[in-house]
Amino acid sequence: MSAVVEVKSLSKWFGEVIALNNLDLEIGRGVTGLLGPNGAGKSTLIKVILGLHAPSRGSVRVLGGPPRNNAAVLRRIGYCPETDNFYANTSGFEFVYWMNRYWGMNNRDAARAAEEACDLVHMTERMHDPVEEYSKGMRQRIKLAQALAARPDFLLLDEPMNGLDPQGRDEMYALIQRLAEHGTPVVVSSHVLYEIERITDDVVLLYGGSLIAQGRVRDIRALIDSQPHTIHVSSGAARSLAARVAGEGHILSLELRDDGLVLRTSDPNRCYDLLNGLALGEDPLVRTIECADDSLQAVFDYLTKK
Amino acid sequence: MALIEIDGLAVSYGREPALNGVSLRIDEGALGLLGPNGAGKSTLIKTILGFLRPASGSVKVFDLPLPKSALLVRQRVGYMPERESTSPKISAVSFLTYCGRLFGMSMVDAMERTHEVLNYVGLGESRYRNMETYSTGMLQRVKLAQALIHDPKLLFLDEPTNGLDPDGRVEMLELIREIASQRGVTVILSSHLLPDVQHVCDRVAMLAKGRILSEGSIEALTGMLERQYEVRVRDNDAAYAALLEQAGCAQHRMAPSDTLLVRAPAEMREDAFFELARAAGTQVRHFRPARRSLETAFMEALGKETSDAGV
Amino acid sequence: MPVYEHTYRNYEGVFRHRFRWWIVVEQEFRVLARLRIFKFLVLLASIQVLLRLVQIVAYDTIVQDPNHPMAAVLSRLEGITVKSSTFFDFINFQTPVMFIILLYAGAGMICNDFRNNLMEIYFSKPLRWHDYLLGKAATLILLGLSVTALPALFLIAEHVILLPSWELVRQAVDMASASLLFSLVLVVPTALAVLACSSLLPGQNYAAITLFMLIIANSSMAGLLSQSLRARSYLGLSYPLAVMRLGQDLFGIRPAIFDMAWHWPFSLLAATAFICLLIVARRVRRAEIPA
Repeated sequence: MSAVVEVKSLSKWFGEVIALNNLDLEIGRGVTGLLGPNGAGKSTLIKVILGLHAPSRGSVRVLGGPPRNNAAVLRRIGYCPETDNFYANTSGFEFVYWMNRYWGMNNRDAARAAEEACDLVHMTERMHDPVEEYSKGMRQRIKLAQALAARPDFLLLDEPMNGLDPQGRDEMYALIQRLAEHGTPVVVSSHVLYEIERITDDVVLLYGGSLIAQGRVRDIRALIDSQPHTIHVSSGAARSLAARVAGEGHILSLELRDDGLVLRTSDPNRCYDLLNGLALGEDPLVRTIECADDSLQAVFDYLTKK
Repeated sequence: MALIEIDGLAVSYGREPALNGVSLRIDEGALGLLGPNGAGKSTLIKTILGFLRPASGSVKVFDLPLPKSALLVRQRVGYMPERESTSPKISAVSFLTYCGRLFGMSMVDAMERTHEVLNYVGLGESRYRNMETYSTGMLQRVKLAQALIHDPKLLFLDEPTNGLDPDGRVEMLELIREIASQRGVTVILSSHLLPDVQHVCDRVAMLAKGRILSEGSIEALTGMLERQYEVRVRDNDAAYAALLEQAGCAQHRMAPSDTLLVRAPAEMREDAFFELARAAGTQVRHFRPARRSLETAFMEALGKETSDAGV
Repeated sequence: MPVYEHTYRNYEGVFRHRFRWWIVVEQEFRVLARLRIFKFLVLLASIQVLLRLVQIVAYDTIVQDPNHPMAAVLSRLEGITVKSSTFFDFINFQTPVMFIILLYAGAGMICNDFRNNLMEIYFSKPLRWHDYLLGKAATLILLGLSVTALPALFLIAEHVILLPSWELVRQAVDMASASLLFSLVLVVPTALAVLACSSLLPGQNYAAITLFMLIIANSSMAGLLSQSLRARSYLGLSYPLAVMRLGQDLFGIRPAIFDMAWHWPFSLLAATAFICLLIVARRVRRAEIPA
């Protein structure tokens, strides 16, 4: 199955500033998270994918074709931007309606699609009120409605959860997952890492204009050899456990806590075997095991702090 | 004496009632203020700052009645609003000195405090540049600084991590935690990002439709779930899941990760999880009793279900 | 020796609130003083001041002295004579630059605060809406007066010093009060109108253009009315002409264009000022008290 987005040797510079440096990237089906600190080139990459910038060098193909000035590709993409930019004196419904018209739908289809999209994002009640009166969360939903209205084959969402309350967030997660299961690839860019973790395991991590990691979070973690794995173990007898474990060669450090230990190991496989063994029996030394640093936040920290 | 005492407060925002009989006592510490959009959170904060007049009920901050003593209250309260604020043509130093002077400080005092507070929030040399050149993160820091400059004992923060990148978020949350724990400032954090609230606060108050839904310590609200565990194995997931089912467990995958949420039958011992892993030819990589997330507690209080409620 | 701790000190200082609105004024002036265009405008405003300075010196010293070689030449110059109407002319001719300065300084005063979401930050401090309003208005009024009344008084003083006589001193008192009143009549409604536009429109440029257009429209309407109804007095509906008419009255100058008792133009200006004040007050008050 061909990738949704194929980027080859992509570089983009603005004057002397290089925003993207020789990027090679493929984004496939399902939900992919796009992360990176500010200034890493995320927004530039998004703009190149949307055809708003031409590559200075290299190529980009979206859904099989180059996006720049290519209506055939662009009409299949749904984009929900981070910033709020609406026409003054319009209602939410009108905004989506006009976006549909620009897309190429006729009057009736545009209106119907706008209504359906507003319904999908639970904005039916307020869709005829002026956008100026909307709260942040409502604006967010209208933006999403606009992205979904034309039933795109590829969704690009930039900070889609911004301003939504927990219920709205939950609905958004569910919606994104439904769309992905339906076969529409979704790329979500966000700074709130635990939210990306909730919707997907696959991430693309940009830093300084380059791709520094791609794939499942845990796989990336496993590849970061330089950092020993940190494991939290809780125990009823922390010191006995410490004594038992200290002799193993792969254990690099031990930290004693009231309710257990924090281990750092260079060989996670052997360490877990050991701990599993110690968890058996009537009164085991090991009660709970938690890996402290295979969260997205930890991986992000390791990769971006040199 | 509680810092904030609210009794039967009813406030109307325009024609519609925004707060409908809210009673709340806020003591020292860090409180999370949660609620769906339109629940009345910002109305509550605005009433406490003296912007809105209660239709009925009473609000007292530092034992000062509102809205009569609004100016006295504002003197001792810091507010970091949600929306992005900037004063483009002047520097952060100039802006903060102005804020200090609005609090009644002399020019010299305001200058000193400006630099001290900017150091604290981590704004370096850029403080002398015009604010139009600032990134979102820097503007957020300036916003926090203007809320701290007069050394308030009560601080309201509305979505303080808005627009910050992952590093910025971590730094901001750490700053807030420090302010709450080390400086003894009572922090009221209003945010939709529940894990953030969990990280910073010890108590929460949940609002919905203008009323208090629930209130209490986070510890109590996110207690452990009966006989439920989170478990993840290295590989052979299917075989392991099958063995668990045989042992009588109800399970549910916490998508998208490979962690399982398992409800064990009463007679099953905890070490059975590890035995079954060995039997399936794999090892347990994550195992702990499941706790209710704050989000679940929140949704349950609202009467709704989340996608990862317990099995 | 204390080790560095990441914290900020407890504030041991004093909080004193004398005139909160004055703090607003100070800050506005501080911000304006840094802008290059503003400095240029002030320079522009000084041109006439310098010219008048020279004129007064020329008239008071050279023209009065019959033995001076330049006296004959200069006395033939039209307008060299310094009399009461000179100061009226001075203030009158300062009007365009005063208007531009007020527009430049004031068009963004309130709308920028709204746009930059600063209202919540300002009013979460012990600042009331009337402090804010008074501060902004006072800034503009002081600015306006500083290019009209202030130099006028200075020029009057110069005139008296160079040509001392009791007669002139008595005249000077009259001229000074006339200058001050004329300047106030000129500056105060303009300042309030600028603030009103600033509080109603979403952007600085919109506010400036709107006020400009309002004045043009107002003058045109007055002109049209007076032409079609064939009565010169309708010209008094025009804001600039109303101001000028009042000034002429204050200085005891015979009106050239139209004749009208002073209370009509005064009422027009007072009404304008009052309405603008109401508009701004409403907008600003709603920022502090949203309900």
